Amino acid sequence: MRRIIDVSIITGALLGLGGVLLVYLGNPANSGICVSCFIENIAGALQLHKNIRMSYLRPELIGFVLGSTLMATKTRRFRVRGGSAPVIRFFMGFFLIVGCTVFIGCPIKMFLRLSAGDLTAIAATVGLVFGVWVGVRYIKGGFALPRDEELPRINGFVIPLFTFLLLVFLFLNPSFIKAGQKGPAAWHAPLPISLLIGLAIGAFAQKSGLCITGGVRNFLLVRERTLLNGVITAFLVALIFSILLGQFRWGMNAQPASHLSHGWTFLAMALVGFVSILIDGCPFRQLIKAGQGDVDAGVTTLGMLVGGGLVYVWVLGSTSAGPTFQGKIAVLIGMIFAAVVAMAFRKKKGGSQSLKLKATQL
Amino acid sequence: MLFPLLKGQGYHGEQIVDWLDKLSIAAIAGLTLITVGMLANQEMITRRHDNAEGVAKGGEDSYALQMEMDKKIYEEVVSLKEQGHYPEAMAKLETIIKKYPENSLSYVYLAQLYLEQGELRETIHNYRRAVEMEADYVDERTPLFIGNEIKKLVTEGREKFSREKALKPKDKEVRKALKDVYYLQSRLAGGCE
Amino acid sequence: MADVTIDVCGEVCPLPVMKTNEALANMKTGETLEVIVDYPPSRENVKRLATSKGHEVLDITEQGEIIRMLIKKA
Repeated sequence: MRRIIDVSIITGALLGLGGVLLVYLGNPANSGICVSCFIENIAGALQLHKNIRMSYLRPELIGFVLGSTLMATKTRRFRVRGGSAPVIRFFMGFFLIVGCTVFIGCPIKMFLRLSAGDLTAIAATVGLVFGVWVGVRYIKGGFALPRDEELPRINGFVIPLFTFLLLVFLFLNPSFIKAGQKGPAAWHAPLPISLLIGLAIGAFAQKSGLCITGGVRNFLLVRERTLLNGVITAFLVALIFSILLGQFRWGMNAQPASHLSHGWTFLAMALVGFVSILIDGCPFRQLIKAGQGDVDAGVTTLGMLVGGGLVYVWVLGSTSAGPTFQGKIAVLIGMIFAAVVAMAFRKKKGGSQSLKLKATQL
Repeated sequence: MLFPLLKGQGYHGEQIVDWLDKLSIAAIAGLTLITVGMLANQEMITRRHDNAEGVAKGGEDSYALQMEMDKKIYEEVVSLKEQGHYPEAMAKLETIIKKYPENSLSYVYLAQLYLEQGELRETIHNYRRAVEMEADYVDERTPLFIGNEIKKLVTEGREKFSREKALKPKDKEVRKALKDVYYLQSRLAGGCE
Repeated sequence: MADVTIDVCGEVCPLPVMKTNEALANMKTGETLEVIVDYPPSRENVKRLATSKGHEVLDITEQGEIIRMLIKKA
């Protein structure tokens, strides 16, 4: 019992520390760790979009996936499963990035922003929790995506191998991989440090199953706090180090990469929370699961990667000036899509063979 | 029955519509209406084709080329400005903005002209327009960087407009000015955007 | 033999966790619950729920696809 709780808290502490430290060592402000920003950067590096300011093969993200793979293989937890609603998961991955980019940040960056004193992240936090709460209502109402099943092992190695290929690119620097020399892309911690922090976080996250939305979900669903404790630890550690390293700046205005459209921030993160519950994991967790052989999470990851490209091509991302019109529309469409899926995949009580629940007193 | 989507594999035939379904349908209908309403209210943005090409530029050469061209375009404005003929310089800028609407440098010059005439509010507003169009102005790794000048101005502006806001809390112009200040400070603070 | 048995075969997470939690909440201290699942990830999840809430996992047996878990309510 102690051990599981500790791993979750260690992961949280690593996330918080890593998030602040990476900014100190050169990552963009408040973006020490941000799965959505990094995915967008990687999409740019692969030329899925042409914004050179946002193109860099972020080693942290490669580390997350490979760290998870290494840990899973070492502890015999590399389980190859998949086959559950792949196309839906692909688009859910896309909409995860849409929600994140309209807020400017994934759930991890959300609490990193909060811990750096950025009060605009409050609306996001409320939105995320609301989205999770909505998802939990559907789970209680019988929602479940179709069951995944065990697949031949080769399936599980595709995403880790692809990620490993990216790692090779990172060191070989082929000409078709773009690295921006200006804008956020030029802000990055030294490569080996980024990679090592990524690997460590990925490995521990695999062991603990830490997930921002999962922590909130488990608490709302069964009052179970293991993961939530990890999330809270991450926030507190980030807060402490952000004060120690002088990154803490309290306020609502003039925060780096943030806007004041609180309504859209709320809705965008509600979308992220809702979708994360439907596909069982926040963007970060999807990467970790993809690393440990979960093919469904791999499909979601690819959806996120495509999303990372399209949000720039379609100008869906917000800037300090606020969300764009297209971004707002995309969030709304994402909400509709998620709600329709949530509704369509419910098994209802009273249905002929639903819930084979037998509580037999002996 | 209500929704063909609800039928299908795994969903056990029987059509029970419970409160969560009703709420879902209402939410989906509401969201759809809002989306369609928003789309109808907006002229569809079709003129943003500058993105793909505009951002593709980069590298030292294109900077040099652009600066060379800019020098010619703005030659007259600069000389008028140096002689202190502000109204003439601004009139000239107007025509340049019409001719080259994509050139963000016009707004930098406009800002500088306003600054020399002591119009802090307009100065900051035009810097904002310039930065919105060209992120390199606040990117210290590019030759276009003018972040230090902007930083000084917005610090000054923040104090001035905050004082004014305290005096006239409902004044729309002051609020707008503060928003411009916050925007620029946000951009200067960096982050991932 | 367990005092209460729940069979959540055919279900995916988090439902087995939810049902386990529900069942445990309705039991008396010292009683045992048998959870029957056939979804491998549920094994860890149910175990984590039980241990983090202070219950004791007495036994886990696997017969082919079927996993039986015996939990003692604390």
